[in-house]
Amino acid sequence: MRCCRVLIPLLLLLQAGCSTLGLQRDIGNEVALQHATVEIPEDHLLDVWIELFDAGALPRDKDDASGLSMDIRQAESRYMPVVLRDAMEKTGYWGAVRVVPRDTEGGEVVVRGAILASDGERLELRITALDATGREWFSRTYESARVEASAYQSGVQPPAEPFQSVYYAIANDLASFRARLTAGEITTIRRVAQLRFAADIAPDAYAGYLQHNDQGHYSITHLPAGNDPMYRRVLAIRERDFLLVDTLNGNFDNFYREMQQPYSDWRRTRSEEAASLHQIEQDALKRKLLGVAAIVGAIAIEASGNGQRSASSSVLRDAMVLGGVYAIKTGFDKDSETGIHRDAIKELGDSFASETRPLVVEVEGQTHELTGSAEVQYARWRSLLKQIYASETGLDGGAE
Amino acid sequence: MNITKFLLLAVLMPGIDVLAAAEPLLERLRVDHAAWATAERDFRARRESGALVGAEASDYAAYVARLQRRVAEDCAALSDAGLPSPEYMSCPHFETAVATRSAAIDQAAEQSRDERIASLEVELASGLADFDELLLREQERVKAAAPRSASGGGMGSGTDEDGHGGDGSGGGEGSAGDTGTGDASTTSGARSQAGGVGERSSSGAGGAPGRTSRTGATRQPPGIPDGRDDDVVARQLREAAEKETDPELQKKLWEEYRKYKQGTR
Repeated sequence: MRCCRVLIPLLLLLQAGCSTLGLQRDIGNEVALQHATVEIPEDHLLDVWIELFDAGALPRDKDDASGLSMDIRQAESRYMPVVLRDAMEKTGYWGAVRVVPRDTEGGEVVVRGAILASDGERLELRITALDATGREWFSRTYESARVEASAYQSGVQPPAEPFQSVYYAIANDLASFRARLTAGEITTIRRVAQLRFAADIAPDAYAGYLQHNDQGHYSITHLPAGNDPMYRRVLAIRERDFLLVDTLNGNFDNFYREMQQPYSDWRRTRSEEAASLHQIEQDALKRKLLGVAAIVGAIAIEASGNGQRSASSSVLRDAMVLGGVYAIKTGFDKDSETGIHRDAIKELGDSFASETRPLVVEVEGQTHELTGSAEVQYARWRSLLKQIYASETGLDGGAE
Repeated sequence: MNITKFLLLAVLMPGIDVLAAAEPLLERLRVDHAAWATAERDFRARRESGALVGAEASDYAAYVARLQRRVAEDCAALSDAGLPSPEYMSCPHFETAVATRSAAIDQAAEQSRDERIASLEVELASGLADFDELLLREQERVKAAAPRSASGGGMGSGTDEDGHGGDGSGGGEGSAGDTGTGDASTTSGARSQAGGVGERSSSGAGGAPGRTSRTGATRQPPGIPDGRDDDVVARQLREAAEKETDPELQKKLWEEYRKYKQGTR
């Protein structure tokens, strides 16, 4: 017992701590975006690659999943990283912030996200950030406060993002972690990112410059010489890699802009319908309960009379029974109203999904085409670098 | 004496000829090399500082690659003239460029180590330049495919950086708040978007399916209430009215919409 007295407050304290600092963050409506107060020197800027989010799964509960679809989620998994990117770009803490396909190699800081919940009223994201050395900065769940339909102001161009606070909170957490890094750590991250790219593109020459342990952490064993011609070639290819990522971002930007208005409309409408649905469900339940209570009350009057029924109690009992039946009936009527709203939500979801699907396919097709074409190029360059390396070092077998 | 001079001149003449012919080549190489080195340094510095992105970066990279290719060609020309590239340029692949030029397909097996490296260098540089051009073309295509709607509300391309953040910047001016109040005017593209679901085209047939089709104008009779508190039925009526092309039918649909809105108040 004594143990519990100590343990329970401790657990509560721990839980409270987690909500602000630990694995779970509950985000209020007003989170201000932190901006860098001084200009960060160029050699201290880290480039951030935000991977396309994992679309996650739909809620198991049929009602909660009403009007949602994986098509919408797929669209959101491309839309949300752009919102986060734009928030981060405004802070002044980072170098280039770019959205990239999942599992793209070469970023100095990589941000991965998974959509845990998104229905227009609520947004829950799991965000993991790590740097090129393989160190995980954090992995947290961000849960928004419930957003009212009124937050989606129609007529505002471009539409406001009601969950902006979530994105700002993520951007702030990333900036806070970055602020704790020393100049030496930042330099190491940048060098490791470069060497990882070099090792990927010219493994014969650079795989030995890095050590990679079982935990997925990279450390530098030695650095290339400043005038290393092979490294210069690798860096020239890396420039093309950046350009490729920039070009991909053009596709993601277009997709974002195309989706912005219909997505805002869909979320607003769904929130309205969902709010109506909740209200009607509550009303229906209340009415049914009242009806049942009235009938139960009438039966109680009947029972308490012990057969000696006065006229007034009889009238009261009858009124209560009738009232109860009526209340139950209107409760059921309300149930049918919920059905209408549920259908409306489903219809909205279907309509939005059918509208965004071609957009998603389009952006996927374009990015795949581009990355596919880049892969062919990179394979050729890898082969060329291998041959050059073999010739320069006198090692045979590089020729193809 | 004269005979000796003549003989000396006759011996030296071919060499002098070569030197004279090589001078413009050398000069061109010096100029091209300097331009390439400066451009590449500048490109790298700008790229690292993040000042160079998107189409501009791709353009610049293509330019640098072209300069590099020109330097390689200069080296080849110099080699054809029988002269080595200046050592102070410390660019071994220049020599290889010469080899690449002179090495016929059948002579590949006879290439020296340096020649072979040079040949591969040129191939790499050429591949990079081709890729730059591909990216440049792609970026132009992406730019051209940017949604037209972005300019509808007076927010030109790329201006949504602050706007959609919802942090008070208030992106599109000429926003929609004032719609629906007027006379039988045509509502702007921006307003139509604000009208919500109704403006979306999800026909899926023809053109670019799913892309928002903004016809730009929707005739709306006077006294039509604002659509911001529409329920599903009202929205559907509004959508039907907005889409209807027959003026008579459209008028009736608006009337139905107005009646419905009055009834729900």
